[in-house]
Amino acid sequence: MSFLTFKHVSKQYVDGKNNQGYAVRNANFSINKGELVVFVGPSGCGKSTFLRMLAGLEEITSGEIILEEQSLNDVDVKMRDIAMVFQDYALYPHMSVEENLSFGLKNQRKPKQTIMQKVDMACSLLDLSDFRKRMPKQLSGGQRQRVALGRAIVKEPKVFLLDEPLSNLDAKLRVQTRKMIADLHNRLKATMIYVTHDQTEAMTLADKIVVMNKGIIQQIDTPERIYLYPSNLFVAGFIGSPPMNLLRVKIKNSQSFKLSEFNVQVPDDYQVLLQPYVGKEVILGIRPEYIQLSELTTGESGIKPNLIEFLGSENLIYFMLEEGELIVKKNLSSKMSPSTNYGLKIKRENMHFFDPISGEHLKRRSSN
Amino acid sequence: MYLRKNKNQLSRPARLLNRFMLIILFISMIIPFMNVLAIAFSTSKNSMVPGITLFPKEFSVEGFVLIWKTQNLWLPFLNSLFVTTVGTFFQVLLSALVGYILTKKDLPFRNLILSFVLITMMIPSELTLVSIYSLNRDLGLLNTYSGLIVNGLMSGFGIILMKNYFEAIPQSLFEAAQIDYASEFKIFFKIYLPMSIPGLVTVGFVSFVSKWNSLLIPVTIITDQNKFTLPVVLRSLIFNSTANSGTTFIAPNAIMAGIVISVLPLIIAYIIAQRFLVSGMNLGSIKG
Repeated sequence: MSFLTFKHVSKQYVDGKNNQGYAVRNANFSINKGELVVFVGPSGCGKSTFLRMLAGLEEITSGEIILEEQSLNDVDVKMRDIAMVFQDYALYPHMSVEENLSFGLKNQRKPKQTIMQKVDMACSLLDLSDFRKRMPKQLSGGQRQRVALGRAIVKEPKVFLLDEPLSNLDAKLRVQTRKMIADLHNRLKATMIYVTHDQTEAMTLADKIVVMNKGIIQQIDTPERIYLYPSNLFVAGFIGSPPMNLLRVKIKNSQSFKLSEFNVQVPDDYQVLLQPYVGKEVILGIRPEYIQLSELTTGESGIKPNLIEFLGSENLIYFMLEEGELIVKKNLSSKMSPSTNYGLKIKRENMHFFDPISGEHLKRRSSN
Repeated sequence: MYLRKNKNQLSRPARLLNRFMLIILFISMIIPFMNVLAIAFSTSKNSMVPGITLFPKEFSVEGFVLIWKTQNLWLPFLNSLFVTTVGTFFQVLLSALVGYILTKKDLPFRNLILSFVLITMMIPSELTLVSIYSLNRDLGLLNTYSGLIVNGLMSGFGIILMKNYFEAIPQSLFEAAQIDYASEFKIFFKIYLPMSIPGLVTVGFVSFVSKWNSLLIPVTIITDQNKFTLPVVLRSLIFNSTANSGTTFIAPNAIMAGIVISVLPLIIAYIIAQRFLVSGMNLGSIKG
């Protein structure tokens, strides 16, 4: 039995008289104890609604949430044994750091000694010992975020919920705090659900990623599998920076297709799958790092890039093909020349094909 | 190097007009007050000289001594202080409670209740005097301190101001407190009230001033001289009434001394509340 299960959970909003919409639609998945699960997706995709439903801050329209074999549907917020870290920290501004940390424990009427021990533990764990008597307004963004984490830690909850906890921090602090959260997860072995729209956070922190779009779960998998085997066009386009190249190509026969002026061989494992698409279009997906470039001499035919972005350790080369824009990533610590003609070689084993109508990956489509 | 003129700065004529208007406003407020002070600190003979006096010709506190001795101001002063303090405390508490409840989006008939609150602010209190009298008579509140406290205890202004104040507090704090096992009452008393001190002080100050100066309700429901409040006694002094003093004539310096005494608690209340008042009033005006 899983630690936490969502069974056919939906959340419907009624906006005005006739407008109805789903924030979350028929979500089914489970989480094991001690896992760090990251919900990722664009703004408004329903990922925060998941946290709020689990915390009891939003009622679910249908379905059931089960934590340790107990249905949470009718359990009050206070009885759920869950801690939440809010995007805006939600620290009590009129209370000191110590009071913020101990507020929940005092409400639980824990003995004073226990409260002090837990606050001491959280302060030393999060390096807050020097700020115990300070008010939130006297702290920096990073320190405030640590207090918010500390407030969750002292409660020793069954599940930690983190709602975009790093989004208000600057880039450097975000990296530091991200590492700290990963470290905390390893040390506490706690079950954590983390919501973000930042795929770097998702990829670096998660044991399991849940990709969402328009209230529907698109894919649940490990970060590696999400990156390497996206289940549909949305996941392919959302995960990865720069994103996967998605090009509309026409299948000549099940062995090859044309990409711009290049003839590309279809990988062996797709030949059967592409049979129904002969003479039709499919979406070819290829990550920018799986395209090899070769510099051509002036006589040879090739294509010229229309933009090169130099990022220090790598170059992003943009080509405009008939099928769409193609981005190639090349690890090189010097800027490449935009006037050179390049030849392209796509790694066949890293090609993906998607149905242009449903957007589904052809391999997944055939397995369903 | 020239300093560039701020775009928001007024032009010179507009600035001059601005200052001129401010000076007029200042004079129109300060002169009556100085006149009251000057007469209060004059001798009884000098206070009877016609015209506006801004400084006492001969400094004297005989008006204060006289008014205190002859009118026995202690009792109305203490009556006013008691009724105003207790009334203000409960008005602030009730305004905060009602304001907090009205922030709840799922409150049944919320908009209807809000409309009722607003209507109470639009009806002139003079119109309700007859019904106030008969209601107080039926409830046995005539000639009681309870009557003086209960009447005007709920204030539409206070409720709306507190509601706006509470709505400015981020919802995430309420949710964080819920997750921190706090009950609704605990959230109200431990989170919302401490975070709304400027609003509470503003409501408290406005309530204190209006209750301290209130004449209509005491005149309507109080006939027992022992329960008279300061404004009632001052009114009878100013109109040279003999109803409660038994004397036929009271010199202007004594009357003005009575007014000065009655203003003192308001000045003390203002000094205490002053640092919160600007932010409290501003929030009400922006959000309202």
